[in-house]
Amino acid sequence: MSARLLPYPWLSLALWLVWLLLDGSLAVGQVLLGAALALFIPLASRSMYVHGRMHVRRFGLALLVAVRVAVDISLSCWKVCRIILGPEEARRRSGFITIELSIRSVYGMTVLASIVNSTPGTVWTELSADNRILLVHLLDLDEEPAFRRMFHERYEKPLMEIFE
Amino acid sequence: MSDSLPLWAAIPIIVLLVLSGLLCLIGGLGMLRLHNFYQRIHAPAMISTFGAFGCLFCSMLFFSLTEQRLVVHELLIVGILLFTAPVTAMMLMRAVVAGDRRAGRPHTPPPPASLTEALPSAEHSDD
Repeated sequence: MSARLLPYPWLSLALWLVWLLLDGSLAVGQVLLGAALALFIPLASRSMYVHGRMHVRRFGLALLVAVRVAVDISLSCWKVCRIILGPEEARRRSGFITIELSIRSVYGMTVLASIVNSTPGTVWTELSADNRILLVHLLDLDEEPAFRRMFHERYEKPLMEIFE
Repeated sequence: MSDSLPLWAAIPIIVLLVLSGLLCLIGGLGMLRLHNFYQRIHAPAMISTFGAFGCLFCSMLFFSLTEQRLVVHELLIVGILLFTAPVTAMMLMRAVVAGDRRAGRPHTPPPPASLTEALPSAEHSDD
């Protein structure tokens, strides 16, 4: 019964919180209206979730990855600032690299793409047709070995443990 | 209004605001100083992450302290930025790469090749 009424409980909870944050109040009417929307929207958009339910295991590891992302983004901000303000030759070292992916989960890849794109200096560009080879643009190709290590060890491996 | 803001809160707020403002400025400067589209796309990543989060965190702290109630709807902006900014970057990048390929410009990467049967060992053993 509850599975039919609430097919995606986390999505419903997130929608409800977003509604309450948007309104900025805990008035009874808003709480009820938000709850009604949180029930209705997942039911109405059910057919959009073609990849099935997302299974998150190991929430502790997910938290660790989030902390790593914050640390790495701040370090990359600093590096990109130095490249922008630095000497001319620092801005002549950009280029594309290809990386072999072992992660298979669609949700894991989505999170990985968001991490790579949120990090200044790296942009996830294109996947091969079989989702195995990834094209990434690096602002500083000198970072390539460090980026490869970081990508596989710090992000891909834990995300595989979380989502697969 | 600002006299109700204690000094211990004012100093970190000011420092963080100036820092994130500087970061946004440097990101903007990047548009001028970097050479092509592929390089320039990295500059707004700084603005949409730490530049924006710094300002929004300061806003939460400042208005929560001065209005004596919890002001947290900035978290929504943080969340929505986290979801949309990476997608924007990827779509812009793919559009430009596709355009450059069609125009046959030099230094455009070829589409990454599939390796379906090339590497049997890469058949993952993780699950």
